[in-house]
Amino acid sequence: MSENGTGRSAERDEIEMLLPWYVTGTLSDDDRVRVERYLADHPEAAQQLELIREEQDETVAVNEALGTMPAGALDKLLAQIEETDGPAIARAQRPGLLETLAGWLAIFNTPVLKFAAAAAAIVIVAQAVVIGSLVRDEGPASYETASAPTEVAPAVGTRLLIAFAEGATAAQITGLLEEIEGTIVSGPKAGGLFEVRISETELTDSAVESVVAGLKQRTNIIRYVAISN
Amino acid sequence: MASANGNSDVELIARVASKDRVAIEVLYGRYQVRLFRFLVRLVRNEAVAEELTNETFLEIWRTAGRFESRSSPSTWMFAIARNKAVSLLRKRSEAELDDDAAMLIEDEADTPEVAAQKGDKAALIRACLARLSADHREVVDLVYYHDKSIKEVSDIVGIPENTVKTRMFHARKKLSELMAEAGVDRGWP
Repeated sequence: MSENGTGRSAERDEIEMLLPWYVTGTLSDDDRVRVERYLADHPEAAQQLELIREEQDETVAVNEALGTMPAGALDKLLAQIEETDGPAIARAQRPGLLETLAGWLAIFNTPVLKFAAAAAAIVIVAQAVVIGSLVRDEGPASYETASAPTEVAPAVGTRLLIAFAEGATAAQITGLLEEIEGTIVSGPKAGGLFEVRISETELTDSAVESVVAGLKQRTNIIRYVAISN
Repeated sequence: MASANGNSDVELIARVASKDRVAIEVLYGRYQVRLFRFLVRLVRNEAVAEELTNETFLEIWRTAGRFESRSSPSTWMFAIARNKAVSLLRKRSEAELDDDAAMLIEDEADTPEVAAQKGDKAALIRACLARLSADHREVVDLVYYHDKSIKEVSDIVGIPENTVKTRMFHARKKLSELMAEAGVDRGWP
């Protein structure tokens, strides 16, 4: 075994260089096997893993404390795209389900209906249909039908109560749910509230508050968000 | 791999290439937080990072047709964002960025010494992370927060894979040194 200038083995240095990726689960299979073999032969090296987890936890905390893009940033981007390319043109291909449902939402949001007494309720029902189609396939936990959402999952993990903004499109809701890795587990409840699970484990209060703070800025998609107890 | 609803990253990029605005919205929803935070950490200024995030998505919109699957869409988008930040930082001195009316990012309230005196190890690590060089901090963020592999970091930062490994190694050593200077011996290296 070769020694480097500090008396440490070159192999140890090489393995230690790989450990951060071993901890984050992003090593290639070959390197992962190599690290596991080394750790099996050198149990004392496992102490490194704990240090790396500490570093990772705090790096995540620092980044999670940062904000998100301000409300209206997407609108600004789309306006710039429109400025560059001109207004959106109808696409030749047949629209997919999401686009179709988004189109329904757009219809429900015409000015005539907007001011009708029942408009809000209609939007909520329309969104329920859309959202029903967006629920991730989680086996028994997924909705059976899009139009009749029901309670579908046990109250485990970290959950939020979310009401989507009236003008939110299916694409925006889909994007947001994917962004927060959220799964709608029940709803709509009174007030158009949906229960969205953002983690299968109990996140720390500060982590959840960070997510909620970020979501509160997304006023174009979300009109209400709170932690679900 | 194709998804059931055409919403995998690769499919979205292809749809953006054909000027599908719904696809750019979904992509935006999926990546804006990550790209924004990556940029905030690079330029240390939220208002500037907002502008750069916007410019990044505009470039994605314009150049999606040139995306080749040599890297993942995520890596490609991070590389675009990074190039935007590097170009800006070359043009503008740090002082100019700090003078922007926007909120300046405060990395950490406590110095390493104060955090160490309080016995708050987590705060100490955060304070020391904030004192890493920009190059070190970037790799640490990409690995620990953005879950990027060695190859992905190499593609995003534009350095060889071996350099990625040694840079991360030295960043971690520097972190331990900073903690030792504050009086906390981690027992490594």
